Amino acid sequence: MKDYLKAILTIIVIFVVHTFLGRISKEIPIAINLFTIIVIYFAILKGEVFGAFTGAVCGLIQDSFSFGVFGVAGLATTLTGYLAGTISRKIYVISFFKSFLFLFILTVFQLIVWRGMHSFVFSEPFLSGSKVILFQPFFNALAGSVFFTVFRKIFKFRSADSQ
Amino acid sequence: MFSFLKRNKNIALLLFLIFFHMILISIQVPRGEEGTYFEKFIFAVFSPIQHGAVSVWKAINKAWSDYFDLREAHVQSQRLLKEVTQLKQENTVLRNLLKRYEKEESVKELLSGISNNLVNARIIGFDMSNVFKSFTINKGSVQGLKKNMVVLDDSGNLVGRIVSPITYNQATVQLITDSKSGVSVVKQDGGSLGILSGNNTEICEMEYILSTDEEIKEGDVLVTTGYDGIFPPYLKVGQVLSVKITPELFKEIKVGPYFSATQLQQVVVLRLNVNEIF
Repeated sequence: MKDYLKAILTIIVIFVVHTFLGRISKEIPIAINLFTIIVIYFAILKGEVFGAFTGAVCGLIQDSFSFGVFGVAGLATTLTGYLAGTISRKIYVISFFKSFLFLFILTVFQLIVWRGMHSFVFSEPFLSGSKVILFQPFFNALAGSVFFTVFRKIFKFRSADSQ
Repeated sequence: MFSFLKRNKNIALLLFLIFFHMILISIQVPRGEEGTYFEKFIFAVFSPIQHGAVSVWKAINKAWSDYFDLREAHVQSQRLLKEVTQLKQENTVLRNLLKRYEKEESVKELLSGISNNLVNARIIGFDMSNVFKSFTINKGSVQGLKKNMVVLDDSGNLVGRIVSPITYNQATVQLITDSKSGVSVVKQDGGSLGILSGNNTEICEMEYILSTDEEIKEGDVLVTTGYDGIFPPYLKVGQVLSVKITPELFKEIKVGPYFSATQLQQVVVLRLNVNEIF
């Protein structure tokens, strides 16, 4: 229960930070998807099921603030959360470079699922819209690995190597 | 099958979540752009947080600027800015409408109707998937906003329309740059009737202009026709950027809207629909 409450509060904080970033520049929330970072963080910390549920909540919030089909981002983020939890149980992903690569690959995966669903549902080109989104894997990986490193210094991460 | 799921509870939960999302996506097919109650619920829960965050951000910004600026001058300029925006709107709409109304009485009636139905709104959040699709404004059903009301920029150019979800103090605006948007447009000086649709970038496309159409050219100003039943006529929409003749039946026409989605801060909602204006 405590974990779920913690996750909900973190998601609210992320939502507020996301809004703040949007006030600075509308391109920043596209370049860095804080929701994906936090889903992967919880998936590493609490496992694949928790990651999937956090992913579902974060994705549905993004969906409700997007003009499109409700559930598309939810599905992509759920799969990302589950995958992140499963992989992090088997491979050590906490060091800076490994977490960078991990976040990069998972963000690419999420974008492929999300854009793929969009293309399928709306018959849109796979890469329509702002091209800033192409930088999202890099900036997510950078911001996330810095965030993970800072948190690793403060708290202990659960991962395959530490078990 | 069930014994496999019993043994692999995690996979069972994942399958449940995938199924849940598939259901969410599927039930929207017959509903069209009308959101589900679940979507409206999430929007209603999180929109006050967004509203609060923006207010805090504004308060911090205001405190910071007031520290450096002369307080009275700042307040006055804000008030004047709002007034100018309001007057610009009134002026544009009225100038366009006056062309249609010759009787003094009907003009007077129209004047009072329109000036009371312009709502200034601040953009508080952009679409999380693409800034060129939609944004959220800080006015909602309390201010009388309803679906399909027209949204204009501070110069009276068309920006989009109100769509669902709408809460008591927030509403979603679909931009004309969204790929699912369609506006009936015509050249300002007449001719070349077509549909303006977005493509999720800052540039729109004008469709269904025959390759044999010689009238349309680069630099032409496009205005709404009102035929779509949503947008009133004579609103400025954008300028033709390029016209390309293709081997296909229709020309490829790129149009630049007058507003920039990434720069917009404030908009005006016309709290009337087409039928109430005309």
